[in-house]
Amino acid sequence: MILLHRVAAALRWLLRRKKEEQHLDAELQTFIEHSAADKMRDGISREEALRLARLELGGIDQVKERVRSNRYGALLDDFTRDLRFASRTLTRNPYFAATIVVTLALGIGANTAIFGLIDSLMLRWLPVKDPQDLV
Amino acid sequence: MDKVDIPQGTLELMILTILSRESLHGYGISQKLAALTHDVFQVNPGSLFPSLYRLEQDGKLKSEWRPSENNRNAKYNKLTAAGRKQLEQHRARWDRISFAIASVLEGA
Repeated sequence: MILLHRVAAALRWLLRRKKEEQHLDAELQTFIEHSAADKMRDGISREEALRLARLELGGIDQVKERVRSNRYGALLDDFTRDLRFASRTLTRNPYFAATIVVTLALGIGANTAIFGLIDSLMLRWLPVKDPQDLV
Repeated sequence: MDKVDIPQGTLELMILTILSRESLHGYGISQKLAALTHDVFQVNPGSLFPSLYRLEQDGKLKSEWRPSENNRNAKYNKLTAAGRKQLEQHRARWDRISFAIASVLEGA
């Protein structure tokens, strides 16, 4: 039940990301305004109050990042970001991408070939006693 | 008196307790916490907001935007039924912990 709830929450966050970010932005902004209003009541100028309030919040972007990384779905979110970044990098440098693909292909191919050879020559004996004595 | 870091794992308990008495926005919660603890605990917004969002994602809180006492639109957090249950569990656990610690300190 709780798991289902968390998965739903994570998906909701991923799908409505822009809206959620805007809400968080607005929420932090109201934090600053409320805090500044309190300070102005103590006789501090508006400018100074806003400055102190921002200081108290500790950086909108830092708080946003902490909220983001603390949510369910943050891992998935990071993963899709990495994927997007990788595909962008690769399409921007097609030769680089081709080199990687060929290198991987050759590497895997060579490994498979050699393992195939060793497997049949050294690892897999016939299912009889002393197979080397068979004629 | 000096400010003290909020002990690990107790922030959620205090947030839930405060919200069980009234719905509040983020700044309201931090003010209430400071007032109730006579400024011993001052929660860092960098810890408060992640906690609130986590609780909301867990369905322990529900939020709604409405005008605040000084006519700014603010996001109010309200405890849900699941949140109340969570609070009871947290509270029971905390009572056991503080009783156990007190028993050691008084060393009967």
